[in-house]
Amino acid sequence: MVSKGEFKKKAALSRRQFLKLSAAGGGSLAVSSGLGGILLARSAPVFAQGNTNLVAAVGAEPPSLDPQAIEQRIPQMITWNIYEPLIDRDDQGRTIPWLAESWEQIDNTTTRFKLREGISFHNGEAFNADAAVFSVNRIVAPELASQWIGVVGTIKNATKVDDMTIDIETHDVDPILLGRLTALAMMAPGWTQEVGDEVSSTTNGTGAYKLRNWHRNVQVELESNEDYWGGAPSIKSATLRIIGEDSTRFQSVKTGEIDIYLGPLPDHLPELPKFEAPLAQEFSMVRLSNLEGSPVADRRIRQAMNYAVDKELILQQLHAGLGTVSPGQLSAPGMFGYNPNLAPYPFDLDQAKSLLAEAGAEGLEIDYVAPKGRYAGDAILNQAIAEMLEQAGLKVNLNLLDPQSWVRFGDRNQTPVPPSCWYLVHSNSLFDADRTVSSYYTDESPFSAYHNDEIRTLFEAGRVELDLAEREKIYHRVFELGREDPPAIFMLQLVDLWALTERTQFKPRPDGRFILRTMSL
Amino acid sequence: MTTELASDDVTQARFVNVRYKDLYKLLRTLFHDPFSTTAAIILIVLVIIAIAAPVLSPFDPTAQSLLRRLTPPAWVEGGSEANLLGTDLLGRDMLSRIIYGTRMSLMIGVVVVVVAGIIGTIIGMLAGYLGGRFDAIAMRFIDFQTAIPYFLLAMTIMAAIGPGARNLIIVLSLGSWVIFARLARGTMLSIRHAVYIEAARVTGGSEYWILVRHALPNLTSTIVTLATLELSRAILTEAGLSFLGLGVQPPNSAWGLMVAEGHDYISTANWLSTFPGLMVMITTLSINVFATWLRKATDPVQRGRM
Amino acid sequence: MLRLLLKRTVHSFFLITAVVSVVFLTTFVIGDPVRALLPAETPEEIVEQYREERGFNRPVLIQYVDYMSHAFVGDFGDSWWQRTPALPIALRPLPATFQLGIFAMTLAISLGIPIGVYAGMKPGSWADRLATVTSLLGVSMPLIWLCPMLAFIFAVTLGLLPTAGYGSWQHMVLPTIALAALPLGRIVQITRASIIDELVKQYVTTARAKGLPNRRVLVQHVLRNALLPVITVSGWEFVLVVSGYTIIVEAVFGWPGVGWMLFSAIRIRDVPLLAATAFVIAVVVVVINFAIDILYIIVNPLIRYE
Repeated sequence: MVSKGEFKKKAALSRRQFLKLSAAGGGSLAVSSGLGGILLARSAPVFAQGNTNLVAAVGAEPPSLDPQAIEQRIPQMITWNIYEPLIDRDDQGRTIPWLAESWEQIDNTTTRFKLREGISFHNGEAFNADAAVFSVNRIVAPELASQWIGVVGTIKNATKVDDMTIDIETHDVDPILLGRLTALAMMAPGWTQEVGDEVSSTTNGTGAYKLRNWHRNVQVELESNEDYWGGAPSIKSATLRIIGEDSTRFQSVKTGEIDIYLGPLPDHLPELPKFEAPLAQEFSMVRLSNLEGSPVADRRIRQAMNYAVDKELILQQLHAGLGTVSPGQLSAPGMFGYNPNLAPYPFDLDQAKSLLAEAGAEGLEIDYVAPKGRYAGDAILNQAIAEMLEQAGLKVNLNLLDPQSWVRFGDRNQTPVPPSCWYLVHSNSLFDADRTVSSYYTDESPFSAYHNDEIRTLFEAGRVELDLAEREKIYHRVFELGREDPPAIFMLQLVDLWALTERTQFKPRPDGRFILRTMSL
Repeated sequence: MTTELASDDVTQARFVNVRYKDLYKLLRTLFHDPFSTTAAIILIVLVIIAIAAPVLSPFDPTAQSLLRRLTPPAWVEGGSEANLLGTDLLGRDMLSRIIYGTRMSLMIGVVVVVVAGIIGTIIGMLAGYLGGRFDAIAMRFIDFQTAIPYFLLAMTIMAAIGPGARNLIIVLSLGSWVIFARLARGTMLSIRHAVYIEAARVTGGSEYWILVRHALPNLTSTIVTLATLELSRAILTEAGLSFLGLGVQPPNSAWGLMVAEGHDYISTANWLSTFPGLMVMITTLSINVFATWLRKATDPVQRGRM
Repeated sequence: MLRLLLKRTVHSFFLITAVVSVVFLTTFVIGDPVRALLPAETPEEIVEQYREERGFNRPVLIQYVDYMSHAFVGDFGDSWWQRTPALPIALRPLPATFQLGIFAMTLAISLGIPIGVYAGMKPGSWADRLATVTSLLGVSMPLIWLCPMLAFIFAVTLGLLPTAGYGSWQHMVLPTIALAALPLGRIVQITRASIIDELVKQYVTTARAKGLPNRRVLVQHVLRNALLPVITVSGWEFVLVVSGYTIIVEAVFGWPGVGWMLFSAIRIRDVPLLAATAFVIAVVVVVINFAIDILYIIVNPLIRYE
């Protein structure tokens, strides 16, 4: 159609055209890369290192920095460096005086606290009885809808006695008031009222650090409070970078770009420069329902399920051997009420099968609800557990749900007929059996699916028993009974995994708090 | 999305009468093109794998073995021949999971295309034939739906009604039928125009019968080509949704799901993500190559150039 | 022209309404919105009281109207997660998405058009082969495979770039390449096809027959005409980039843009945030469509021959 000569000419011109187009293209590429670079430069986070600046990585943006409203792990990593409670814990987990110097019991439900003198908030407001009373009353007020209410809800109110003394009154006798107070951050009344809604994005505490900057979705910057009443900390500044991807955090700690992050994958441990894995007050378990009508109401079935799961194998393979198998109770040495005489359920598939046969439960169909994305490796773990239960002869309908839906299934207010199995990790920040027992060994909490009359009676007694030895005996008995009539498949006591660089010195506390002033580089 | 230019649908319809002799000629053209032949063979293999999964799979895809978890593929140090493509986080055999994943993806894709194809074609044909109000409403609705950012809505709807294969099929079909409808309508309009003229000349003879006799053969070739493209799009969307956790759920095997499970292990166990992802790539690529050939082959104008 | 813009405005209004409505409807299926706002241990009476106070007991239709009227002024309520207004939270990651999106589209266009043009003008050449391969790969490419592969090759194996994250130009490279892949394939395909279509048109043959001395002028007109559909398709691809592809790319590379925000909102079931983010994306889609329309009108009158 087209002659060769013309074709050549056409080609030559289109080559020129091609070059022109490419030049234009290359030009716009250059321009937008410049623009892109400028845009990025403006938002580039600080990578500064040096011996006094710590860089940590967290997996998500904190929703709020209001220390009394939100109870999540990541915001707490920030707020407990800025705000402080009346009572704190030492490195053994025991309660120690902090912003409260001393206390005495006035009557069954009232305790009088003497506050430490000479402390002020970062904005200059004095820390005194007004501030303490304000803080206590704020957190229990229904308007705040505090996520801490489960921990501090037993507190009725606080009243001022004099400038540095307050009375805290609880609704009922409360043997673990001190433990609860470790969760109550002291806030400045004047400032809090002044800033209104900004309380979630600005801070004003008594702690060793102040908020320097919050670069949304990028990082939170803290700087040391040189006037801190406990002495200026050694780490002068800290940056908490928001890195959503675990693989990035992993790589960054290997290159030293970040110094520390919480929750590396157990499979990554061999490649980390350093890690700390203290036991945490966290107990993984598969809550079982023994309420009327539950397929697993017969205790032999629940015992069988405890025999069927090979917890040692799971501990070794999915948790890198870090942690311990729960000894037939949701408690551990160091927690009040722990019964040292109970042994864990061993892995015994034959025993499991024979118990199931005894109860006529071979081939029994059960519902198993577990979260995916709520805890590290939860989807994988629960598939493993479900498989083990199937090996024993049960037919498991595994339902892996997003965290919101999963919570709904565990809450009897929303799901009146609880599923046979519901996986969760019980977190006991109070180091006391009361919380555990009330949540899972009785049907008091909406999150329990268990009832046992004998335990119930013991529990009520333990609640009001002020003699420590007696109280301990009560809880021993509760856990003993609970092992034989299991409210759950007792799984593991978990560890807090921290990935560190060589230079980072960090001895994590048993309560898992990220306290910068105790760290050094 | 079809790969046609957004020009007049009417002119896209071609008049083709497919007879057996043509079918043979069609296949001949296929064999002349090595790329398309390869693609066709791959597709046939995939279909065989999907159908014969229980027979071909070396292991039960749900069989766990915690002691054998994260075994690399056989040719890597630490791998074993028992698990050719390695094992996953729970010690399940990768090859078996991929085979069953083939079954899952193809099944979902085919069902979506069939459902959306039938519904879309019928509505489109009706719109083209009936014209008037029905056509106007249908066209507006179709235009409108194609403008909506579909993946976004699919994610939201799947999150709300609950993930899983059945809901996935419903949601994907809802997204796909409009494409078929538009094409069917366009073809119908052009045929109807021609048939009207023809029928005006011919006395007697049911208009319906003429429409059917002319409509179906014409539609078949274009619809089939479109169906293959929509199949590839359905598989891609399903993989994306499963990857985000909004599609097929564990413990079922689906490629997107497997890629997600391997997400954190890119540096230490990349086979978890690489192989299933590769399967998606191979499948969609083969479908698209095949569809390109199919379009050229069934288009008489283009066929001349082959 | 005014009529077109008016039509486009109405269309946009309905589009945004549809998107927000779908999200509203899913609220009712997703679960108790009141429960999601309060801590888990809240007793039933307080929940009921809250429900009454916030108007969750009113009939659905009234709630819908109320909801939509607020939505159109940008009031989506407070995010359940952060407890502050949802729309500002949804807007914050937008610049990050644009960084990637604009860069990716520029890459796709500046590579795609030259390749497509050259391929169209010289069928059978190396450019034609490249174009075919690129476009096929581009349209079949599963992002769930491409993204981990890029990360694996360039970050893990070669160690040149980070696997994921945000903060320096190195973090931007891989997501941009991934995001550009599909548009590149589509743009190459459409440019090539468009050039081919143009070249067989009447005026080209006429011009050639006349022996038009200034070949460049001819080529310029061919180019200008051929690029019209390319503009449209590029616009569509940009829409797909910000409303679809970016969701997966941001999820894999941990890039904090609107796609990632949408996915996070879905994951944590934060309905106000989800609605606000979907709204933001819908508005972006609408704006881009508007821009394409205007661009098209501007370029169109410059055509001399047809």
